[in-house]
Amino acid sequence: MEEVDISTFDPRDPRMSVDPYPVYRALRERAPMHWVEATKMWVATSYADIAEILTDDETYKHRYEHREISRYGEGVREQPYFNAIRRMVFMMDGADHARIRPYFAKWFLSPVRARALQPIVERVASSLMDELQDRPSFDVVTDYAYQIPLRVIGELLTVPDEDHARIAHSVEAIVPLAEGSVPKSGEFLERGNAALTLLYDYFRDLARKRRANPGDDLLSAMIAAADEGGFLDEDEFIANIILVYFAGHDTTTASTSLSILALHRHPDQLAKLKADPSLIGKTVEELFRFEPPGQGVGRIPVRDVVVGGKKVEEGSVILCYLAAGNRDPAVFDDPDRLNIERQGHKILSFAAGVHTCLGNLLARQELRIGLATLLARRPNLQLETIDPPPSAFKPSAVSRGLRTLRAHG
Amino acid sequence: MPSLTLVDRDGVERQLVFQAGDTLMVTAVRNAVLGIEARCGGACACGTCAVEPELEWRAKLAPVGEGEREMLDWTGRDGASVRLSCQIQLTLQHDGLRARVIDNNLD
Repeated sequence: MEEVDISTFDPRDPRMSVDPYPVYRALRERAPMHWVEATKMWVATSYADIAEILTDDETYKHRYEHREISRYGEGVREQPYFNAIRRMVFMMDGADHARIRPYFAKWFLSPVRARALQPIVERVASSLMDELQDRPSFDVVTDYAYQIPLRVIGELLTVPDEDHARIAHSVEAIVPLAEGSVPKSGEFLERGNAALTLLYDYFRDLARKRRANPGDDLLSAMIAAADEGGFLDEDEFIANIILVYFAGHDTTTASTSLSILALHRHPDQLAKLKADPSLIGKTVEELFRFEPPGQGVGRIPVRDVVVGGKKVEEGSVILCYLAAGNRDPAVFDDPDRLNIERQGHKILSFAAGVHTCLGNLLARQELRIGLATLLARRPNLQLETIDPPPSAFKPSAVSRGLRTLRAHG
Repeated sequence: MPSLTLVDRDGVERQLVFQAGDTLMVTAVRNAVLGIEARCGGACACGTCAVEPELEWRAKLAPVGEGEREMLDWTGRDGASVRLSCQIQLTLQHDGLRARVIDNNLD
C-alpha cells in the first residue's frame, strides 16, 4: 500500500472521495487528533475522542453562525444559504435545537411511526423493481438507490411524483453549502442560493395548500407544530421542511449504492446473506459501519479543551471523522473487514448525543428494504465493475457517495 | 471521580468513571461498551440500550417514566428488572452502581 504522508494531509484531496480509509488509518495510528494547516482545523479519528466530543454538547457545539462569519465575514448575513441553514435544526445549538428537535423526534424516532413507514418503503422499492423489470441493465444509483429516498420522503412531505423533476436537482446544489470545507463563492454559491430560493417558494406554496387540507403525513405534522408555536417564524418553518427534503435523500442514496458495491466487493459476505436472508438486520448495521455516507461532522468547543491529549483552542473547528471511528481497532475487531455477523458496538455513522441523526431509523429501514428487495427481485445481479473510476465517486470530502454504478442481470 | 460497573455482552466487567448529570447510556457510549447500541441517541425510541441493574440498585434509581414504560413494553422487556440506560440520569448517589447489559439485538 502507498505510504500516507499525514503532514501534507488535506481533507479536500480528491483521492479522499475514492478511498479515504488508508488515510484515516494513518491519522488514527499516528495523530488521532491532528491539526490540518491547509484548512485550519483539527481532525479527530479515534472512536474514543469522537464519542467524547459528540456526547458533550455543552462544550462542543456547531456554532454555525460563528463559523461562517469568521470565515467569510459579516457579508454572509445577506446570503440566502446562510439564512436558511442557520435556521435548520441540524446546525442549531442549545435552546433553539431543543425547541425544534422534539417535533421531528416524535415523528421519526417513535416506534409506532417506524412501523408505519415500513409498508411505504416496501411499496416504493417494489414498484421501482417493477419499473426495472424489462431492463436487463440499469444504473444502481440513478435508477434505484436515488429513487427510494426521493419517493419515500416525497410521500411523507406530500410532494407529487411529477414535482420531483422540478425540485430534486436543487438538493445537489445545497448539500455542498452545508459543508464547512467548501468555499462559499462563485458558481457554487450562486447555484446553492438559487436552489434554496426555489425550494423556499415551492414548500411555502405546498404548506399553504396542505394547511387547508391536512392528513396523516409529516408535512401536516410540521404545520401543526408551526401552529402551536414550535417555530419562531415562517422562514424557520420552511427551512426545516427543506432540511427534511434534502437530508433524507442524498445520504440514503449514497449508503444504498455504497452498500451494494461493498457487498459485491466481498462476495463471501453477499453469498452468506443470500443463503440466510434473516441476516439482513445485522448486515445493514455492518454496512453503515463500513461505508457511512456522512464521513464526518464538525464541532467547535466553547472553551479551551484538552481532547486526545491535544490542547484545542476555543473556537477552532474539529472535524470528527465518523467513518474513521467506525474502523477503530480499539472497538471493532479486524475493522477493515466487512463482517455481516458483527454486532454489538455502537456505530458512529449517525453521530451520537443530542444531534444523533433524526432519520436514522428511516435510513436503516430504507437500506434494509432496498437491499432485500433488490436481492429478491434480481438475484443474479452483477456489477459492471467493482472498481469504479474516480469519476464515478462524488467529489465531496465528507459526503461520500457514487454518481453511477452500472449493473446487469 | 465516581464510578460504576457494567457487565458487557461478553460478560466482561467494565469499570467506568462517570460525570454526574450524564446518563448511563452516554457513559457507556463514551467507553464503547459491547451491547449498548443506543441507535436513537437517547430519545427513548429504539430500545437498544437496555440494562439490568443489580437487585440492590433497582430501588435507588428514579422510577420508570411513561415513555420508558412504553418502550420496554414495545420491546417485550420485563419492566420489573430492565431499564433503558438513556433514561438513567447519574448522580453522585450512583457511585458503585452495578448493571448487566442485556441482549439489545432487536433486528
